[in-house]
Amino acid sequence: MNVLAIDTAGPVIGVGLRCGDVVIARSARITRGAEALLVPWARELVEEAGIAMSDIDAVGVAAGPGAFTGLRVGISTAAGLAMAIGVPLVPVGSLASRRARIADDVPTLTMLDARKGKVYGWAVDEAGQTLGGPADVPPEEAIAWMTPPFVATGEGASVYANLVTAAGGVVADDADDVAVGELARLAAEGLARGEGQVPTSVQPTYLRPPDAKPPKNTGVK
Amino acid sequence: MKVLGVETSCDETAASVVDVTGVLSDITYSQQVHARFGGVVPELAARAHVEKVGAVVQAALDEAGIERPDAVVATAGPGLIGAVLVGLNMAKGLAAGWDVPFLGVNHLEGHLLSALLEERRPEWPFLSLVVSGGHTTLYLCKALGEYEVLAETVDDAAGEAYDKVARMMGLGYPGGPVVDRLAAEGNPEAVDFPRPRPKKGGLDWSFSGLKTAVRQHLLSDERAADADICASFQAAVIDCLMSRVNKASARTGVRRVVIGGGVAANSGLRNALLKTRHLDVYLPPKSRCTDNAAMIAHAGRLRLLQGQTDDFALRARASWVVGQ
Repeated sequence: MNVLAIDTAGPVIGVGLRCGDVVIARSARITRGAEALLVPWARELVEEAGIAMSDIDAVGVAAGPGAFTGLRVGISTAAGLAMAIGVPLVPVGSLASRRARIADDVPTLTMLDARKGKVYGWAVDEAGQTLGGPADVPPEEAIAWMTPPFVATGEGASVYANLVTAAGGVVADDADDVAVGELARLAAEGLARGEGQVPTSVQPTYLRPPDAKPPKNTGVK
Repeated sequence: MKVLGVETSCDETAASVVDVTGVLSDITYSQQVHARFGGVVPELAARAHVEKVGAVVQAALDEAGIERPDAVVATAGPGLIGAVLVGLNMAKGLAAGWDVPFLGVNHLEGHLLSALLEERRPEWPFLSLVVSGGHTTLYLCKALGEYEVLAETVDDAAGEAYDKVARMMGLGYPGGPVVDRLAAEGNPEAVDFPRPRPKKGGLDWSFSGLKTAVRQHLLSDERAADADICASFQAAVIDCLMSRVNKASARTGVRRVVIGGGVAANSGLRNALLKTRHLDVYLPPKSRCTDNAAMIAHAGRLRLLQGQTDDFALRARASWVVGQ
């Protein structure tokens, strides 16, 4: 099975292609301009794997939480590819794919920086049970879900490394890695469970309402 | 060549298929979410685009009766960047998945050339007045890609002035259609609003002073009826627009005039243009004046026919001078 995976939820973006159990990937830390990289990377990976776009069986996408614009860039690109190839689109939690890099039996706090002094956080214990989240919370609140020792991953763990360490946690060495290989694997597993969706129906999981306020009173009516 | 066009630069999610015979499908979803904010909220627009764009594209393909076009084009700017990105990236994904050419279209070029989609279409060169909530510019269109700006607003766009006046009067959003409707029932000479003149020799517009004059009138003790205020405001806007079109036509010797943009759907402006006997006016239907994807697909198709395509690394552009 060939699964293409796209993750633009955080500051490091990536595209991965999983053919059988082999994953090839591209990633980069960027501040803007993901739209210039995703499709060129996908085409490079397909060529490198010696397959055609039409040989892709499913597209996986990090559906959130994460940067609003980033999520939309990833989802619209992935949806366009899946629509045209005629395959399902599999949404995967962006915290779940990052969590999947850590061994299952390790209590793990996964965080993406949500700006404004908050993180998108999700905590699981050694049995895989959720301790908190996924939620848009201050990092202190997310860290308080954990009992040391624990591992923290996701680029939010790097941003708040001193808080993690002070709470008795350890920041994973590859916390900033975009984990597109894991995303592709989770997408393949999701597809097997029937979680593939019609590409037009996949929506971002924002976890945060839009910042929209009615205009100030103009004084006349 | 059947071309799929995608447009998401502001608050319309749109997709269309065109070919040599004309428009095969033209689907537009107008976002309603902005009304209570009195203007387009960029984050809400982007969220609504990503909700609808796939279904809108599918509907455009279905209505055109095709599974796969020969090329995909999309608005790459100018516009709300978060909104532009949704349609642009969907288009890139589609083109790569189908393995067909891709091209990014300047939204304003779509408006400039929208009259060329009609059966009665102008020959080059022609004057094109693009007037909307974000733009008020008069171009001399010499050939595909060769556009000279003859006049533009130095402050508010005309459509922005409509929206602000409507908001001050408590008429809701978008203000243009409401003001236009009320204006039809009012006396355009009831209030003597100013017609700001350009600097000597220039053709540029300024609408912020007019907007302030309306505000002062609304706060005065002798406030006219709403219909009369709307009619007087609209008369001032149209006088300003028409005076520059007439001067530009006289200076360039070009009598053919087309209009595009949301304010081009304004019946007062359309009537004023049609009544001007020395101009040869080409009016797209109102549905092709507001944002739509047929004009994007069409402008893209004209460029594709010239052999132009874009790399998939094309970036979205919040600002983009048409023709550059």
